[in-house]
Amino acid sequence: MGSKLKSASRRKFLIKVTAGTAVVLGTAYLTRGIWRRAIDKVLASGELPYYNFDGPLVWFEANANNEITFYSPKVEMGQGVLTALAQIVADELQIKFKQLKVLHASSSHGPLDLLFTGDSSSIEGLWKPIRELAATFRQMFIIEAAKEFKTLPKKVKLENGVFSYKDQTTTYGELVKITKQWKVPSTPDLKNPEDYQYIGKAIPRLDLEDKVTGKPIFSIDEELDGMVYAIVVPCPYIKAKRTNVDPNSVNGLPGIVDVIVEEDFVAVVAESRFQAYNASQKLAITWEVEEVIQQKDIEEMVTVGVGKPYVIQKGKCPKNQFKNASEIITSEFRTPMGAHAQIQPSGALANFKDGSLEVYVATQNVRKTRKDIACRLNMRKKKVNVLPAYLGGAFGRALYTDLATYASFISRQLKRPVHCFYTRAQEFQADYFRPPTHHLLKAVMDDTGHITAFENNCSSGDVVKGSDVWPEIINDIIGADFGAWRGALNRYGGIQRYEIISWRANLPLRTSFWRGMGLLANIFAIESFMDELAEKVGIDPVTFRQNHLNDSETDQRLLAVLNKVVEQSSYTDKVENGIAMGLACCTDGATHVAQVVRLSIEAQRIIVSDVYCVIDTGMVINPDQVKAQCEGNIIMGMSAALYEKVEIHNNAIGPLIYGPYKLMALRECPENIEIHLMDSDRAPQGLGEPPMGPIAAAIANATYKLTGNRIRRFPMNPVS
Amino acid sequence: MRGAFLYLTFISLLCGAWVNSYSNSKRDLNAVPQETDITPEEAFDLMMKVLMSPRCLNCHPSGDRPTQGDDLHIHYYNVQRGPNNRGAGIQQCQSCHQNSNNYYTGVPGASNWHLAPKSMGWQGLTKIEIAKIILDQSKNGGIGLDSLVTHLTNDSKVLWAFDPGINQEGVPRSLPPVAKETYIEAVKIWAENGAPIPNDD
Amino acid sequence: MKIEFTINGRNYKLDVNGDEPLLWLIRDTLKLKGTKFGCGKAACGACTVIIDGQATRSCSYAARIVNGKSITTIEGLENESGLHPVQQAWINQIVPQCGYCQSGFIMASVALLERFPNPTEQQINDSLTNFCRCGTYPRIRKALNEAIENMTSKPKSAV
Repeated sequence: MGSKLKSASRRKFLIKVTAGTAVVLGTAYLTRGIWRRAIDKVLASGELPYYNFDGPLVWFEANANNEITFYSPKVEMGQGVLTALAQIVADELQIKFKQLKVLHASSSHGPLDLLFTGDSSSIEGLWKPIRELAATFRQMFIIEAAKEFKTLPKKVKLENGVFSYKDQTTTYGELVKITKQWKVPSTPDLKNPEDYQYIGKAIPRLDLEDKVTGKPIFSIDEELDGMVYAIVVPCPYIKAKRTNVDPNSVNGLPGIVDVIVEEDFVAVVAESRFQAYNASQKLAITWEVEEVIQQKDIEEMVTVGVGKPYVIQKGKCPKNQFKNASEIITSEFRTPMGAHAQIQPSGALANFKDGSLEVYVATQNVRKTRKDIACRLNMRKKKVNVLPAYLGGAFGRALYTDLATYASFISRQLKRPVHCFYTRAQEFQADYFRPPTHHLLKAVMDDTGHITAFENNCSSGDVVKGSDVWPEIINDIIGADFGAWRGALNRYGGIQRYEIISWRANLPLRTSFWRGMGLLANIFAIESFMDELAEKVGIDPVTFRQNHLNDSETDQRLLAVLNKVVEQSSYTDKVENGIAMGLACCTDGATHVAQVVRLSIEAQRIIVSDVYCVIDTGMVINPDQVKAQCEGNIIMGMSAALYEKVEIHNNAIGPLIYGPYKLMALRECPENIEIHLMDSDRAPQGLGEPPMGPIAAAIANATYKLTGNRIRRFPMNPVS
Repeated sequence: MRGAFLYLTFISLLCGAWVNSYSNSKRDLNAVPQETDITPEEAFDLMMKVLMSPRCLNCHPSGDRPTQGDDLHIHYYNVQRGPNNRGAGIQQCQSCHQNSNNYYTGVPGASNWHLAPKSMGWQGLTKIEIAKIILDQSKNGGIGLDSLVTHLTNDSKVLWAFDPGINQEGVPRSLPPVAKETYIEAVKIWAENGAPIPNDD
Repeated sequence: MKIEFTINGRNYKLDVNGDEPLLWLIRDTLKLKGTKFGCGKAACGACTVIIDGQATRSCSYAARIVNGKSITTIEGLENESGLHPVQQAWINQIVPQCGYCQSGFIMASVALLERFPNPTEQQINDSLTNFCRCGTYPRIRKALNEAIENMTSKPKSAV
């Protein structure tokens, strides 16, 4: 036992005991690190005032069967968080891995996660409190074991879940049975990293077998007796409202239970899903478009210079350098709206019974889901139990659970369980899109090829603002939308004179969180621009980047991943046999990523054969799943950059189906994706999104070498 | 758009127009005027108007990918001709296309749904070029005129063109510009008159 | 209408609406939840099942044509000797992330290997046209190759 705790004594613990059967220990945690990232380099102090919240908790429970259960406040949406948390817990409790069960905490387990599952924050935020809780829990048992062994706690050994002293042994389960009164000690020292048994190991995901055998673990798989199916019809147009519904239009159709017409939604309810679908197709609804909007109007709204500017980061003043420059290099980029397109559509199963609600739902935000339902139904939050299920993809989409609210409402009205999911077309129509963006970058360089003045303007629809996902205090402090400008900050310490400006575009449609938020678009712009600047002064892109990194710790870490990816990929600027390589890197929070791609162009399409990715994400809990996250980010980022766009035509959102909304498929996936994880003893950092950053620019930079055309838009077209 | 607030009303396309067409999918063909006194040349033109409609051309591609829609865009989802004109690997036509139109998904269907062989690729050809290859036994699978007429007037896939269902968005597919009875009549008249092909000019 | 068919070796007789998609019969009527709904338009492949040897998108397969067919779903892959080699390879390569699309991928892969025990790269690419949003494609490829190796080197009778 080693690592000394500085602030553990401030942590409060909560204990619940069912004598002889179970003991439960919980604690609050506050992920201030995430907030700090949001205001990183914006507020000099880096400290936020404490926010008044209702005490998010994590829980452990040990029972007489020698099983230990961890109730996770974070949900499993593919990122492997339950497995990673299990590794951390099992290590600190020093138990057999199989002894531990990890379950999603429902909202009835107590006060909820203040934040949500997302923003690559789960492990980073829980890393310390969860180990402190586990160590304290462990110590409670060591104390009881010592009593049993008639010795001092420090003499008790604990290995693989077995407490021992000389020839005496006992277990967590035995101690639960015999202990009448538990003592919660102050938090002991945490386990030494050298002694980790599970942390750092590529342990297979806990949910593997369920997911390859088709177990009913998703919310769409939930069923209750007497359940009916509802289809909520979303408005297919933007800037439009519903003016009429004719419930008689579905009269006499088979299986119809009801048509619900409320201010905020319309639903048809039927005995089977097929009947509900058919009726929804026949339901006569009139929509009135208030103002005709086309795609070009959206692009006009999202343009640097339009809307409200916020200076989000400022170095030394670059104004004189811009004024006196003989040449200012400027560059523009655009990205379109993107859909989440997760394969499981949004939805929920709600059951109102005896004044209480149970809601089975795919949600990244149990707290908000519960609050939304309680508010809409005018119920006390206590009476609403939100049971998070495994998510069939989320990527930010499941921060919003409108259908959970509507299903709850309908269930109360009909006094039956209500199963309510979108069709695919509706899922596209009701999406909260990745906002469209526009980027205008300017730079002045000196004779040595150094950037002496730098300006980055990014215009975007909202991400965080108005989302009710993040405590509003963040926006109040920062002013601009953190999500929109994520990735836009200058992270090259060698650039001293700079100004970064975020322009808030006011759009007539819903935009919000999409994996990595602004990261994909902003890094695409910055890292494409870096290659343009390097070419301008005749310096190779690697050296040019190296020249703009300084001696600070964070720059040195970025430099290290950059150098490593160059080595790993044998990066070259040379084009050979129609094959080119491109490079880009980024720092997101305190995670550093560099990527190199190798690609060719066939039949006017970009064919990426290799991707090399080096990441420094601090200490790694599960290297295999960190790699899986890198692979996933690279593929999702490539898909967005090469193929995807949502557009508005005559106010209608489209496309509404895969195919026309093209996702990357197996045949287009690079043959070779190599991930390298940097060794680090820093605390674990975010990783579910940072690898999304560099990929688009790396592709654009490589393509430029083949075509001489600078790609300035998604979906990327190599020839125009 | 700027400044001008136009108030337009769109009746939602979700409101059921094509669902009605589903339940009444048998069209009133008697309304189509019968054309019995047409010349073989006119018959040829009528027939070719159908054969060159998107409903036929999409499955008579000249390359190795079927096409879709009135704009003949390449079939989504990497659909390939494959070795037997029925798809590549296990992604066969029958992975998605069954023996009748599916009005739930908008996936079209007719029995034995598959691509015409490559030798019968019509896309990009003129009507005269198409006529020449459908009569060319080295390309048409070695069938004579009688069998050709049977194919053109009886085959479930050919006649599907006149009952093409709805598309993925739920909108009825466009019909060939000539009614089914007229087309069948035209094919017969053309064949009975020796299947003449007009001069290239 | 009345239909009779087999799923995973079990015989069923049902009275159904002939237009209802097979997917909903499997999921809602027969309560086999492993087959997933993704798009309802035969576009994503999450609902893939095997019908008489052919990988088929069950969302676009009307109940009326189910009559007389033999269907295999993800729940029918395991036998007394354990998981299907394709499932085992998926576990060994730690393929799933969110896992929602994986039933469809596994069913398509099983159908592929039944027809082409040693498929070419091209056949794999042309066959597995399902979509995965988490980006598990590199691992799907590895798992498929592992399954090919295991299934071709160890014929069932020799196990």
